Amino acid sequence: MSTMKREAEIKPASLGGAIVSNSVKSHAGDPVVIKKAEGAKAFFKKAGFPKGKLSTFNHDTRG
Amino acid sequence: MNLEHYPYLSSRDYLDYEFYSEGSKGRIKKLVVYQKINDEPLVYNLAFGDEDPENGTLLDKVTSSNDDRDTILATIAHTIGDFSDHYGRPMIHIVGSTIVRTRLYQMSISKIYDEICAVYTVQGYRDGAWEFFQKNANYEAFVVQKN
Repeated sequence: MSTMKREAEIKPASLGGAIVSNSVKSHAGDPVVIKKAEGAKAFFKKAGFPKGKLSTFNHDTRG
Repeated sequence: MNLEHYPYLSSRDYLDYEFYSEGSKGRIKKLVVYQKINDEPLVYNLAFGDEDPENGTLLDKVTSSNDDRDTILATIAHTIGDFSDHYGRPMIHIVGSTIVRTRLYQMSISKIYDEICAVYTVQGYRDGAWEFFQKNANYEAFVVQKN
């Protein structure tokens, strides 16, 4: 196993953990990023938006 | 529950992330980029791919085949956590660059779903409608939202 990998225990508040760095540059103007965003906008025009999270939703997916 | 992932870096505005995939093909730099596409409801698009080593731009159609797809997806899941905590937990749209890649996302989400469903609500689009994620269904696109 790579030394770069590590195990993370998943708890409701534990997803995350980024190391903030000035070396990470913005890709907001990247042609692929823009194209994908435009594609997503077109998709939602067709599909509409989901209702969002519901506290009453049953997460059981065993069916 | 354990979810193996790569360490990753974030930009100061938490919109851009990068990490290195390590596998049979070597060390490959990956990018995750969030971009707002709608205000009400608040929706961001997630763009993911390799960094072009020549100019630093995102390549979304490269097939790395580095034998670590699940680790990569787990890392992306972690970036969603960071991003969501800084941007009001919006909906995040995820779709592959091809139908095959979307199907691979589906398979990877299914593998880790039991571990992430307590943290994220995942919905999928199929047959003209959104529904809450089911492991045995094939979707055209996904929306993830931190609970």
